[in-house]
Amino acid sequence: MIAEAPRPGGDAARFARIEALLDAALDQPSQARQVFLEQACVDDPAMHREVLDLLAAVSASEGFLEAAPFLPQAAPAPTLGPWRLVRPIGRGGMGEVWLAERADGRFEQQVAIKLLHRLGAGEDTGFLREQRLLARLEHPGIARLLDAGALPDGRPYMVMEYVDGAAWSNHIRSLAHERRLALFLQVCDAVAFAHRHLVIHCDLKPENILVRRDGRVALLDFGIARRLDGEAGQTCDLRLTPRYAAPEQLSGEARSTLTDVYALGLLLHELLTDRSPWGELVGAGPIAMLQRARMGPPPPPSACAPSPARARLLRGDLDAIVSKALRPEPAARYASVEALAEDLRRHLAHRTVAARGDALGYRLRRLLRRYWVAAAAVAVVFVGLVAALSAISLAHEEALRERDIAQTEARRSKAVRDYLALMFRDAARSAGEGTPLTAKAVLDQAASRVAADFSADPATSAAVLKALGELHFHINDYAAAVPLLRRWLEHEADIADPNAAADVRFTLAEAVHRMGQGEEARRLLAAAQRYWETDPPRHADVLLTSRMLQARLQREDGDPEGALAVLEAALRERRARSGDEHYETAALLTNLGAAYVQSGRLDEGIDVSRRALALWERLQLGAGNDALNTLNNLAAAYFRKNDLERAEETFARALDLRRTLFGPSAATAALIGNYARVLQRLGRWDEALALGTEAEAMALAHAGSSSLLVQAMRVARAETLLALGQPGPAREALEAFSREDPAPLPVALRLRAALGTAEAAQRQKDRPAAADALAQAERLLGEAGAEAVEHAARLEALRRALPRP
Amino acid sequence: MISGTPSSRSASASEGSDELLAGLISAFHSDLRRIARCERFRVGAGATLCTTALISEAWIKLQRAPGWENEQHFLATAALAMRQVLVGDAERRFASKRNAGAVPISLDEEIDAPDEADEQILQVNEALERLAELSPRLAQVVECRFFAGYSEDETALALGITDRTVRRDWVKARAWLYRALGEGAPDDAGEVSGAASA
Repeated sequence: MIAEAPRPGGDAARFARIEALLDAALDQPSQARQVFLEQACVDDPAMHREVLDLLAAVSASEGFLEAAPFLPQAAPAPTLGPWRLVRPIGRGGMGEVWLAERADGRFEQQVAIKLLHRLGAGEDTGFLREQRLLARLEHPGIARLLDAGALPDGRPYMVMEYVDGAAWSNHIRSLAHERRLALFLQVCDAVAFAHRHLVIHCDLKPENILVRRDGRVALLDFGIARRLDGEAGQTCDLRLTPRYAAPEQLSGEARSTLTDVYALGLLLHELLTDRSPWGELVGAGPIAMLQRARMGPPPPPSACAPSPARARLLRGDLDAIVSKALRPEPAARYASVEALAEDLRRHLAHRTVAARGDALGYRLRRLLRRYWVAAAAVAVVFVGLVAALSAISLAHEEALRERDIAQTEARRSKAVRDYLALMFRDAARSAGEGTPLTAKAVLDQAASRVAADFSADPATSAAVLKALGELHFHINDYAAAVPLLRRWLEHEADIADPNAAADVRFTLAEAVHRMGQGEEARRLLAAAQRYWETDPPRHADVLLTSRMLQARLQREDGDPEGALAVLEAALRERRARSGDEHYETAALLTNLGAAYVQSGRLDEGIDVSRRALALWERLQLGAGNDALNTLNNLAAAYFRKNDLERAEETFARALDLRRTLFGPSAATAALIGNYARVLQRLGRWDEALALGTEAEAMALAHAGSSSLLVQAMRVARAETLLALGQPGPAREALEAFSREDPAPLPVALRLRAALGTAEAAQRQKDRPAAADALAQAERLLGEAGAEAVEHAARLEALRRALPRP
Repeated sequence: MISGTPSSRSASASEGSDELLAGLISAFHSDLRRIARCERFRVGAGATLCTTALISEAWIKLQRAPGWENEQHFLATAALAMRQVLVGDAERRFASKRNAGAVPISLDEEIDAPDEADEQILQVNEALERLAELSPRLAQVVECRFFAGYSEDETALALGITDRTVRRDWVKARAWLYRALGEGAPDDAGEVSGAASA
């Protein structure tokens, strides 16, 4: 026993010496350790004894606190019912697998017995139900379940058909490409069969596939499979193999047959390339891998091919098939394992595959053969993309040569805009043939292509990656733009182009700002401006452009007057530099108009916005993105002035235009949301609710749950619901609002949310919540100042309705 | 409720690991309990793969919470959280055994019978507190390997040491615990290397 009070410092120092001696001893060959310690501790026998003790404990404790085998190794051939266990053949998270044979000698049969860990309370009935389900799975491609039961101590076991086969990974290595695919199709058939019987596998991976001597596959380990008819199980999670897991498994969302489609996609990828699609990530820890899987499909097989010849074989159909199976969002994958198998069979038969149905170049070639006329419009879009991209890279080279950044910048932006204008026009025109060809589809296609090329040739791809990020940004698909731009920044050191890096940071700042991440936007913008300000004359144009974002951030930071001053100064400088009839002048006017409106100077806002709109039309961009934003701002100003008739008319015009030209996007959502608010004000509540709900779903998909856009829509929807007499749903909308951190949002919005919560709670007779929310609203009203005057009356009314305690 | 002024936000972001630990435990109580249950199996029998998945899941959900310095910080805190849940559950089961029949059992918490694994958990936990006074790092390695079920690689990541060091530390810590828990030497009860009376 310890005789005296411990002396932590002294003990720790002493223990450090013991540890060091133990380390040194362990570094010696085992037969030399005794002698070594005798010499090392010659003048401290006590320490010598302790280190010797610990050394003895090192070998004695082997296996201590670690996984112990289920059954004692020494036990001579234990039996389980009619089965005698021969030897352990595998071990996993759920238990151990033993090879076993008939103990009664009546006939020769080998089986694999899975011994599972003890089940928790209530799990055993589920286990038995599952066994009955699995016993029904009689398919040559699935190892059969023969029997199941429980040991006397309650641990369940399963008796499975013993498959004497080759490991999947070893077997396919010796096979040629087409034989591999044929084998993979067998796997698909077996999984599809299980799906038809309402069983999903959830853990498909090479280790669970064997190839019998006769060349047929056998899937193992349906032991963790779950039924499809609604019994969500937890067990699946526990067996997760991150390397073969689908994103929805990783984030704990619902698993389905599409989870197996994803795993099959990974299996196919590996089969085609002889390596894991996640490449070096496999060793980088599971978290890194999970994050990566959620970002998008891995690089296509052709980019991972071991040889150029193999890459050629994979490019095209197989790349498309794999990437369709590996979409992070289940709904974008093949709808079933059968559909995946069918596409592979079509590929083997040299027929067109469904996975490439939306691939532009592929469709283009097919169309060209069939309908010249219909193809023409598509071709124009495609050529437009190529032209814009080459103009961009040309401009980039010139920039390096001439150091004339301002001019090349302008040309580059113009190339992007020209291309976009062209693309939108043609997107509208070509919408007739089959699925409409949207700008987004064109860009997505281009983005997946550049993603594939990037690993092969980063230097060339960098410029295209950047342009595509910008293009996605220009069509307001921020969720798509952000990863492209971040990807560029990851390679920043290799690309070694500080000018382009500042550009990318700027675009990324714009994108993340619109996704509601103001802090990051500020940081990115400041970094870009710091670079530009090292040589202001050279970067004058882009600096001026960046003032618009700077002003927006400043306003959101609670400095509307400062923001206005920044814009007014920028506009003066811009006019002096570029004249009145200039794209950037129009953009600044648009922003200034918005800033006036947002600081309550409505007449100035309306005046400036109308001038901006006229300028857009003179620049022949009256149907472009910027003009649409201007219309939106103008309508907002009318709305604030309570000129509802003009507001409704302007919004209707803007929305009509946008719906014609663009697919769903954050900006479209914003516009629909604004229109809904006008209808709200006009008392057309049902229309307002329908549009507001549509807008919110769209915004959620394109801007993210914490974005200002979605948050504002939640509040507006709550207000509409309150007007329709539905305080319950209204409160749910506002609870969703509060679940995201509302602190960075504008005070006025938080005020409206508080008022809505107060009203809803009051109607629900939830007095404490109403009082809380009202107190909150009062505080926010004080904070908001002039911006929120219009809400004061409502607050007052609510306050009167709620008697003070 | 609408809450959070800018100042309160920055305060919460700068608060220490205790806050994060509490957040992790409360946000993932049931998940961690599931881990704990697996871990209990692990003590007596069979390896488990459950930690990796759940920790990954927790990371995905919590990575945006303010205050995490990095993945390393997260993993180390998660290991501590798991130890607490595991020990807490074992204590609860022991308490429920003592109070059997006297205290109504909450319906939404499954309380199963205490077993030898619980006893071992509590013993290891107690010994580990003593080991932590001698060598915090050895104790942390045990926390990661035994309580959290981390692999060598994950432990190395969590503690910012090499996997070779993890292997060696684990061997030493295990030997120390083996002696401290009197395994194989029942007469030696309580005698602890390094803290032995000289």
